[in-house]
Amino acid sequence: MVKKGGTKRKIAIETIQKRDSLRVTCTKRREGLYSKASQLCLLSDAQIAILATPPSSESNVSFYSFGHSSVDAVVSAFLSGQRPVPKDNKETREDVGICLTRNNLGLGFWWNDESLARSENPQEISEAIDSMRTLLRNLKELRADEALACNQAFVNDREDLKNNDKCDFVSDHETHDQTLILQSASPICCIPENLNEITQEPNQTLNIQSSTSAICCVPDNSPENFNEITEEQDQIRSICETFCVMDNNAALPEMNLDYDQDIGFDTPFESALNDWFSDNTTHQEISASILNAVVDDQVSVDLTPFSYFQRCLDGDNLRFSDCFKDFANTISAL
Amino acid sequence: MYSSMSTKKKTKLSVRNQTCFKKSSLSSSSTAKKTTNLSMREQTMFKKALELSTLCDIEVCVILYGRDGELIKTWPEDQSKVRDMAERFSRLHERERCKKRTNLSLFLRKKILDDNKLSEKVLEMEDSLESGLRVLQNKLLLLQPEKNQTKLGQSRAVSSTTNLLSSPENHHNQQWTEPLENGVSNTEQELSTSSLSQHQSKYSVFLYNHDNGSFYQVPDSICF
Repeated sequence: MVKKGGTKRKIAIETIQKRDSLRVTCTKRREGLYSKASQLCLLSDAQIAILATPPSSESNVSFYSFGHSSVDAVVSAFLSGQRPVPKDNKETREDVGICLTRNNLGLGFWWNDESLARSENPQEISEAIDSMRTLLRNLKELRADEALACNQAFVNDREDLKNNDKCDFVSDHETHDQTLILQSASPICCIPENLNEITQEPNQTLNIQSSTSAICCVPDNSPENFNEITEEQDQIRSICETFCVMDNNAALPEMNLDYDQDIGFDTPFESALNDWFSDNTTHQEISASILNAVVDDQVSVDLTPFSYFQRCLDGDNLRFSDCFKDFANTISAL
Repeated sequence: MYSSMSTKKKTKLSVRNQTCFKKSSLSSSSTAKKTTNLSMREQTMFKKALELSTLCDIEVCVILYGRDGELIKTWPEDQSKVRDMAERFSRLHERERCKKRTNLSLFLRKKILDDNKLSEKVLEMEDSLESGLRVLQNKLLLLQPEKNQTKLGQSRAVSSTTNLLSSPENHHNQQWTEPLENGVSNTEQELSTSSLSQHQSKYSVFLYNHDNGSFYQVPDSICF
């Protein structure tokens, strides 16, 4: 039946065929029935029990029930034919929901009652004060529960923000990797301070020297080469961490300029390296052995420079291809 | 159809009139009208039960006792059906009975938590409660000189102790928020210091000067 003058319509009171609609209707109307019963309880101080079976599709669920004072008390009283025990007045006075709903129904709060205001009995007033304090404590607990529900929603929002920050950090990490590859080919080289690792320095300098000159001499010990590769990777990781902390985006063009300058100053670089080694008295023997090796093994050629160039070319820089061509020309000249 | 609509409108208007005149009328007449209103509410509830049972094809029973303990009415009116359903309910195991059971207190509490509009009314209730508490305490103090008794002294002592207890609670709440903020800032400082200490001690950088052809070691503080 469509009601005239409005958009609300009343459905026919007959069994609903659709299962989903039936379940939803059952839930909503049951809540409505409970609401009406609660209003009647508060207005007339009645004791009510409502029992409802679940829909046929939910055969495993037990009875839905609502009761005041409690379902068991009213049902047992009905079955035994006796009168139910009246509910304690104190519990009713100290319940937040009951007091609030009574106020909404127009009955007002019990502490604003005229009889209490006119009363001159100190015992009655002290009892009322105690009940009001208990009610106030219950009310604060209820508001705390309500605040917790709000906080959970807030926490979920904050977690979403953290995920976004992590994504940004990951993208920054990738860009820093590219700058590190360029830096590894530049004349700026990181040397560890630890004295124990000083013996490994000449290997690193040989790699740098081989990239700039035609003479290339690498010892045949493969474990040392393996150690060099791992050390470079470790250095790259540590440098990457420093760049992540510093977040310096201007390093990229400087690398190109440094590399261009490096090509033009091959000879002073070598002389500077030799001078630097000669200044350190503790490394005289090592440098002497390297010079002897250079003189003896002048003819031998090793594949290490090729792998070095291959790693440089991965950085997608045009200057590396120019250097590679020069290197190839020098080898063909030999 | 139209006659039934007009009848419904009249009943609604009469209900409103009764509710409007309820407070200003005498106690006896107000009691009579209250009873009329309550009987209408009972009929509404039973009608809702009928609709629920018909629409969802389920069994519903309602047992209603008055305040004096008399059985006012049951729905369905045939008590044998109600008794049968009540016996089935009693025969259930205690655990299964508790699954879908609700109480007036629990139902209203859940209603308050779900509905956002009621939060304002909760605040108003709290304000009214605090003001009422203050009024009654003042009245109790006024009654004290009229009757000099030890009980009044004890009650006053109790009230003073509760006042003292309430203020440290507020202070505790304030303290509770501050450590969280300090904790957050402390963790941030720890992260920054740990990262600085890790990188400082490991490496040193040498710069090659192309003009002079010499090496220069960069101090640690500049790099990191």
